[in-house]
Amino acid sequence: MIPLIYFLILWVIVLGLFFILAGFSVLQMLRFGLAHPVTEISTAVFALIVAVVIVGTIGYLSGVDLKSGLDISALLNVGQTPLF
Amino acid sequence: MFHVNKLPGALPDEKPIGLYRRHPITILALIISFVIVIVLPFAAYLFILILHPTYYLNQQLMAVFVMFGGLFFLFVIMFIYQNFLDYWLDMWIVTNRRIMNIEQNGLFSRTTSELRLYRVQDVTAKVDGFVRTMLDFGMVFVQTAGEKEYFTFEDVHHPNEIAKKILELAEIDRKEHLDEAMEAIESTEIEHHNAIKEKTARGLEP
Repeated sequence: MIPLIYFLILWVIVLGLFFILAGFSVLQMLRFGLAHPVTEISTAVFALIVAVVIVGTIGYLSGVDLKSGLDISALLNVGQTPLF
Repeated sequence: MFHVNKLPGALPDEKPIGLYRRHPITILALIISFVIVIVLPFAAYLFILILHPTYYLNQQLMAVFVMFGGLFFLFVIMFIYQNFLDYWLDMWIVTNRRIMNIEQNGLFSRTTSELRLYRVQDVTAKVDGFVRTMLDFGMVFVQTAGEKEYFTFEDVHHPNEIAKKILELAEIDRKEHLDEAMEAIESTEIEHHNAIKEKTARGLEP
């Protein structure tokens, strides 16, 4: 059994890394992209997609019991069909 | 049109004439991959729902899928955004005084070079291949008085019109800045002469 909280900690760390890279990308775009609607629209679309994914994930995770664990051995053997 | 004050080191009485980027068809693969990435999560959801609906009953497994599937999606979206940034920040700016080439290489590398119009000697437009001919985009090579110096506008729309416009602007700029143009030509001739002398001394040229 691997507690879900471990996966959540890993998720937060990778998300932090994502925010650093995304922040640099947006900064470069707004700094060097000449004033043009496409510069702003593409950045807004990117930010919107990121927000939807993160809010959606957090929304889903809020309904999950994070104290429970993921039983990998049970997934591989009993009562489950392998995914592929 | 963009404002000239946004340009690095704007010259007095400088007016923007044109801003050119690569033809949008050059990022067609990026646009297609963006559409696929947007559709992919929904397709994966339906695929699992049809083939293995029991997987959705395991809440813990779903939570891990949602977390890391979401992360994967975010990184792919960022990769596409960075590729678009690479395309969008590459540009060629023509003003009534100079040509600027701004090139973005990845996220942290940026090259800006400029060329005064009175130094332009020859401009060549090149359109080759079926797609380029049909959509009218291609290369523009701007040759200066120097031996090896040249600017290349890559995959720009209407290359022949751009080449013509640059030649006209260069002609006007040469007339307006005759003294600077003469100095540039003289210094280039001296450099060229010195280069030949050096090569002759080394026995590379008769």
